Amino acid sequence: MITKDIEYVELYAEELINNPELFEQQRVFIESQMKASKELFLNKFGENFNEEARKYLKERDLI
Amino acid sequence: MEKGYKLENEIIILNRNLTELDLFVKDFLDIMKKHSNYLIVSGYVSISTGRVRGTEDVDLLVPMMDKEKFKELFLDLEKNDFWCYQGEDAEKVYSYVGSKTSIRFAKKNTMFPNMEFVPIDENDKIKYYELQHPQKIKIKDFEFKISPIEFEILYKELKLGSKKDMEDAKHLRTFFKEILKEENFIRFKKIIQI
Repeated sequence: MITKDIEYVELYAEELINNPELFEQQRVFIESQMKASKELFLNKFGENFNEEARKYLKERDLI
Repeated sequence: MEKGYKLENEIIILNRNLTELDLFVKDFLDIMKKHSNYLIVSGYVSISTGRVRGTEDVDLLVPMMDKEKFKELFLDLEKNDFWCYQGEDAEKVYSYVGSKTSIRFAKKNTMFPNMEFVPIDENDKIKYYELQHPQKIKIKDFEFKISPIEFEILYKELKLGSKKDMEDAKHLRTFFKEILKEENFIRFKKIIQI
């Protein structure tokens, strides 16, 4: 599995050297991840965002 | 034929449009640059150069600063809609910085992505070295400083070594194969293996 994944990474990077249009696919991937994350946490923490977020992070020993 | 990047006056120019992630980093660095030196390292170096993978944080090395300077930066970030995971009181948050503990900033009402602000000083020999030897990179009008590509590759291969890091290193080795310099690998390897 690891070998296959790293071969894919190499293949994609090789292709990207001469085909910058592939950057557009990457942009769509990144922005959909950001949109999903934004909606998820905004729904989870609501109006007292910072306070609720810190409580969440503290409970998990992340801060 | 159009290429994914070109090297112009030692600056890597990427041939792509800005993403929302780039704009987040740009917003943060526009403020950071007014107050301090910095260096982007790790995941965002690979992602900004085309690696397709998810990320939650952008790692930023920042030279140690005194409390007053930090307060000015902190207030400027707050004024520009960033919030700090560790707290709202700059004085209290500085206690993390002073003890060289990372702190994180995200945009108002969001958790991710966040900027992981990593305070370093001269005792952090490897990190301090890369801070002093930046590579400039540009996407449209957004220019910023990253660690040298050869340094980033070796650090991931020799120091970190997880599957994700090895894949990031492979991406950088392949995408930048036309500009990587063997003498840099030799030079940086000695630093990383201190």
